[in-house]
Amino acid sequence: MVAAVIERRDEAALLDAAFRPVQAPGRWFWPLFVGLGALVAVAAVAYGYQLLTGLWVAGYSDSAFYGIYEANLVAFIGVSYGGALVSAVLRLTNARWRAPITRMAEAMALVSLLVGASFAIIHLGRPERIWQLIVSPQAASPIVWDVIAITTYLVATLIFLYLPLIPDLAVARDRLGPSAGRLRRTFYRVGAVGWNGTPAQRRSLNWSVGAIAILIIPLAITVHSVLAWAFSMTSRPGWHSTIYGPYFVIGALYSGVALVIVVVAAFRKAYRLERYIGLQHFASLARIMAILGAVYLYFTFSEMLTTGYVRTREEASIVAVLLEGSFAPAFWGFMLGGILLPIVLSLVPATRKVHYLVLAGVLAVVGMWLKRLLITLPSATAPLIGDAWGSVQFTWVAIVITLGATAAIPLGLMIIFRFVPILSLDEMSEADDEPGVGLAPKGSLQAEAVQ
Amino acid sequence: MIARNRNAAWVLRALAIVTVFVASLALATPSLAADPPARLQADAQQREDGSWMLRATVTRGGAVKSQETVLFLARVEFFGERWVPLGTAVTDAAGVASRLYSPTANGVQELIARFAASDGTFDSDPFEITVSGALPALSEEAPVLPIVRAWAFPVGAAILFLVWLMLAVIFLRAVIGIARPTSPQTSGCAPTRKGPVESSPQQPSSME
Repeated sequence: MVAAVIERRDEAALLDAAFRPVQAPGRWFWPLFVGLGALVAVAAVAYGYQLLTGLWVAGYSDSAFYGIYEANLVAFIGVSYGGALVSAVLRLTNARWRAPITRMAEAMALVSLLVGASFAIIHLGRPERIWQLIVSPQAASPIVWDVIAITTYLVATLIFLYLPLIPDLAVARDRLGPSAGRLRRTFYRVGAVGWNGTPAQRRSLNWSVGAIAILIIPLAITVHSVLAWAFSMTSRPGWHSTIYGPYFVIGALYSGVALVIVVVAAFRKAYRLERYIGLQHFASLARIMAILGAVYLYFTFSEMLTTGYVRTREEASIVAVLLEGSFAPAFWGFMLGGILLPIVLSLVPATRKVHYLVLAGVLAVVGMWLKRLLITLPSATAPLIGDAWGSVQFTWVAIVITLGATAAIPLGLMIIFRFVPILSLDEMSEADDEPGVGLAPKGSLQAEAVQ
Repeated sequence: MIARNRNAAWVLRALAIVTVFVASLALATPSLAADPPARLQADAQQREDGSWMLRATVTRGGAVKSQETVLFLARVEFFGERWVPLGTAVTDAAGVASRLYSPTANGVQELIARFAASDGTFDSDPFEITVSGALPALSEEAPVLPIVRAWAFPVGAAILFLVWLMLAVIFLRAVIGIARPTSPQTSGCAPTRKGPVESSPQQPSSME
């Protein structure tokens, strides 16, 4: 009897926590919402200015035809794949500790994919011509492959977010009642598609969730490889590399896990989810991040060694500017701050605390963005004929659009979690039902979460 | 009288010395004299492989200039009308600088050669080349792989179709399987429980 009362009280607390952003987002929600929205709006104005005046206002020229936007495209889409893959892999490996963080990882995957894909249009001087990719595609073009791959992956990500959400939408339908407003109630009712939790419904859902978790892994790998091939199938020094596919995939995973750490930490703090998301969650994510970081380090070393050792004229010039030339401060800054330091912070026992692990995540995300710039800029500015290197100008237009895109990610997540539970209630209940598995409140995680 | 003659002799000697000095200085250091402006004559000849050999001859005062660096430029119109450097070449003993140029766009192109010296920058008269059958940048004729070429597109399209089909099946199976009318039966997990849930005291978020 007492156990049942405790269980029911825990369940009520879990529901309160999961619906906190929906029902009581807090008094800082709207100022933050307006602030982030203003940044996005300013970025939209800057894009309008770029449309009117031309791509040169973003620092582009004939001698620097790729720049900050391409780095943003790869970086934002990369973190999206990382978020989805983390959730899918942990789901397939039945890692029960994932339950409280999967919703945030999947939502992050969707929002960052939308933001990243928008750069495919932003970086075009004549964006209306993207229509030609659809009406008269050239099947041999990697750009066409990119459009197809990103579209396919966007649909898969939507399904991957939606399916595990169905039982939770049913909870929202039953719990919130008339206070939710007509539009929101309709959304919950339609979204829940009549979920009652019957065994037949459970079987259907489990089959589909398992299938999409399997499918999204090769999809994510393929899609980011295609994005890499858009670079490596170009005859430019620095890009024409056979390892770019896996190199990009590992980079995406590394930065994606890092951003999951940052996002989970932010929402955990904002909505007081410490009871459900503890140090162990961060430590587990950080271990995965450290392994991926080490693999990325290996790829970087391999790439530098092979191109630097053979020293064909064009490739050698790229290696030279990276290791000792004008890009050297950024490159070594990335190596130390973006790779080595996050690995150390993630693995050393003394720094196994939430704030250190979040710092490692932030460093990895920023470092990987810098790395995408280092992939893009030297090759895009290297001369193919003649000896004159181009240079990219970091103009206010490019910077404002980048800041606006960055702000769009937390803004999008705040909007999503105004409508859906931030914790995956269904999965947490399932995990809780398994003896010995438990969630943060019942195990060591609770004690660690206090730190 | 004798003294006056002696003074005149000294003056003449001094004038002679100054004259000889200035004359020898002028002869020994020709660079101090004003150089005539450099002249560049540039043209281009198409080669059998479709590329162009750009040539520029540098002369100054009728004499050819060797070991001088000449820059070739092309006029472009995108991102504003201007001269874009194509590359440099050094003049040989005959004063001729040669550089291979592989245009990547068809049509008429306007080029110049430029020579930068300590006393100024000298451009040749613009000259035009008419390009047809431009070479794609850094590519060579690749061998055609007929089997790969024939199968790549249909195989890729089939894989893409299968992926979309799987996405549709996954989505529809879940939605139809859940929406199909069945007798309500809770599975026992928290989210499926109907009715009001005993609410714990609302924890304020840190945003409050």
